Amino acid sequence: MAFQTAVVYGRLLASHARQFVAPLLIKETCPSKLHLISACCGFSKDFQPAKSKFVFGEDAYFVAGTKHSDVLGVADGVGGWRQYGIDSSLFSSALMESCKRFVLEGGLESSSPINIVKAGFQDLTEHKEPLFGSSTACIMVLDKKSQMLHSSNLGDSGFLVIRKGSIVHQSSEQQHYFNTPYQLAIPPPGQAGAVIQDSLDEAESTSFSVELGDLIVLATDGLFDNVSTEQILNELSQLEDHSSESIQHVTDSLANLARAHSFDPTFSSPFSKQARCEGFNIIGGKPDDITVLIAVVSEMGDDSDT
Amino acid sequence: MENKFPVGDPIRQLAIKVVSFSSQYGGENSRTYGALNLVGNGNIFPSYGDYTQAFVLRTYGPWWDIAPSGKAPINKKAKRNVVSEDFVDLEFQEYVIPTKIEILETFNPGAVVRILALLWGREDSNSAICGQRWTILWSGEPQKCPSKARKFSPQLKKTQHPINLIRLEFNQQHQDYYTELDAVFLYGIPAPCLSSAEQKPSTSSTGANISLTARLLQKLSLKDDKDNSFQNGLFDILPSELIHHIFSFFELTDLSRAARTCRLFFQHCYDPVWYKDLDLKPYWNLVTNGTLDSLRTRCSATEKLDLSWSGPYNAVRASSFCRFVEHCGKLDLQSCNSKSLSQGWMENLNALKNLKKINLYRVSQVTDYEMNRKGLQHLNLGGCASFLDGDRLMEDLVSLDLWRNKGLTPDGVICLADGCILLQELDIGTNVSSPSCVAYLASKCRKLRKLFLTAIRCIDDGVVDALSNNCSDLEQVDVLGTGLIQSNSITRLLGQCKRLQFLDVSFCSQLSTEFIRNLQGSYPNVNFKKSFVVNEDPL
Repeated sequence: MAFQTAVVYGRLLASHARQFVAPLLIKETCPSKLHLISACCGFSKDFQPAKSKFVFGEDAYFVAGTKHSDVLGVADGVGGWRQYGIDSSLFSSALMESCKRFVLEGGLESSSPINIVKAGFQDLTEHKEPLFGSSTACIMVLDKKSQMLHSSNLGDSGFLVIRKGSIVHQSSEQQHYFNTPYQLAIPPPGQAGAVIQDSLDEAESTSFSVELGDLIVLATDGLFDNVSTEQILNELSQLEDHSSESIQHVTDSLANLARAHSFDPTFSSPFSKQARCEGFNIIGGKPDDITVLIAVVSEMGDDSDT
Repeated sequence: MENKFPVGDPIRQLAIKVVSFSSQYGGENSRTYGALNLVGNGNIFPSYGDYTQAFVLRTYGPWWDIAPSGKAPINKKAKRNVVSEDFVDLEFQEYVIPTKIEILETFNPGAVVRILALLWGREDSNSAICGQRWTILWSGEPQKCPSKARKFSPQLKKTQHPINLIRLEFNQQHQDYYTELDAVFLYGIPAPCLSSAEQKPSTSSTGANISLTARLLQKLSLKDDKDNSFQNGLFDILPSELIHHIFSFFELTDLSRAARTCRLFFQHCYDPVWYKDLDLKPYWNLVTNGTLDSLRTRCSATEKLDLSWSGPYNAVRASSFCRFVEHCGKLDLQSCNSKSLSQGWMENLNALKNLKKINLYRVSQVTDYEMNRKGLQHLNLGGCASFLDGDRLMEDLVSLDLWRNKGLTPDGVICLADGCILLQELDIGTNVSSPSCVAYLASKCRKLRKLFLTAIRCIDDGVVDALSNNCSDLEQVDVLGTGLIQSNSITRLLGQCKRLQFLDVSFCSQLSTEFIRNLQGSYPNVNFKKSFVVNEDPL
């Protein structure tokens, strides 16, 4: 059945191939289970045309569904590699691609997001073509049957779970020091030890019981550094219904808000506030790649969008 | 998948599971270049190139055979001209009467030489091998194909048996580089309600053959009841040497059949001389506990045993195996992954006094194989989880294959260099290492003829120069996937190592395809390999 889902899935993705967005719908027939209806929107900070619909600058994401679970993931390639001639977007996008393949090809057991990242990362180390760089990663898995939402997060991407307008569950940020997140890395030879290289054992893993109608916001720091949680909640309150069009609409407007803030030199962003706490004199938004995924926990076979 | 189609219309199925395979480029439990990539829809087709999402086998061309560890000259008596070197077993959801099989080949197509299907009862699937029988759906010669993706769909032999498990067999001797597969589709007419009677394997053709032989013998025998010494007909007046010579044309299954005909034949067929070199790999599907137990009485002198591929589906038990291998000097157990083999047989291997060569590639139970034995010359621990810690040395070792063995450290390489100076062949592909210890190895192991340093990113000009300066016998070198090697050191290597035949510099970012193409012109005896993912011309 995984393949049928994959096919449904691929077709839907393809139908949105020309946009930066990918509203997704995983239809199954069993009504007692929950699933996610999700949408994505994002921007590259340098306005470069996207190399793929799953990549925004050095950010990348994936959405995948199987019979038993729906999986979302984002990764933020660390930009510091540019001075070594290494394009970090290749690393983050390859990581997400590997994770997605792992899920779709039935590698997922017991809804463990950490196993997805582990397998995806392992894949990257085994390519014939050398692949260097580093990236944060945040993966969420909804176990359709048990209605548990499992997460694994390494670095400064993150998620919020919102129920009836307030946050009921969220990730915590993992930073070594200001603006330097925990990260998965494959350093080029000679650089091992000189770069930050965190183990997946340090990833923060959580499990949370979700309910019908819960909203999930999964995003890279491009969102959280530029839009406060109050503003995110405010944007989400605009959600009219749980159709994929409505979700897409809210996702687009949230990502657009983040982008507007990121280039606003006077805006008092969460990033600038934190910077001042750390003793840096920074004002305005933080220009960064932005990836926003919003998902609604819905009953399977019971949604307005077919 | 639900069968929505009326019976009679073929359905198309994707593989849902890789049941077993003989080798893969990728690591254990990894998808990259692994057999698991054959599950599900393809990702690559119709693109052509060296993609991580493909199933890639471990060897191609003559290179592995002509290396020092090359295939032992185990008696080849199999009837087929084309030897299957590798296989993969794929399972599909529904039992169908097969009508078509599509194989998506996305790099160097043409290596599939045989397609078999397993006939067995659904209820028996977990029990013994005795319920198994394989039928050949297609067999053919390896093909030389143009460099583009191919959807291979050979004409299948008609079978009335519903199947859901197929085996693809490969021969890559003729290939310039690895063959790569994207996906396999099985088309067939669903067989939803099969009675167990229909599923039972029908009487095999063996019976017919035997009766044929018996009839032939009847013709040959003289029915002279008066003289009991002529019980075996004219064969009694044939000199024993002649009978022996005739029997030397028999393959293993012929010997077993002939032994059943009469005492004279029995005596000849049970001569241990036939079983000195025992290659059971072509009969992997027949090897069971019973096979090993019955062969044992004939195998008092067995010195070389090839049990590769044997043992899936719980066919071989540790006890049967252990009794069998007491005398072996060469033991090939490649991908002999019977789950029922337990720890005990490893100890038994350690007890083998005369062992000179052992292949434990992908034998999952290898945990504590004792390395510091004298006399062992060839060891393959590819794909195994562990290798060695510092103080265990093998001074007689000639070849060592540690392909994707996760246990080797830079210190381990130093130990190898100090302990194994006779080493002619070493594969430490994809292991973590440091350039200094590999350079040290080159300075110590000067007899090296084959050195595979695949995908070790830190291999640099210093290592290549150390090879140029010390190892003039080098024939095969693989430095795939390092960005630190420049054209000058490669030119020096080619200048110093006159015997070089094989050089894989794929994915070495500083060596351009054009540079390699020029080298190919200057060194026509060297086989340069420069693989590609996309947008590059193949050599």
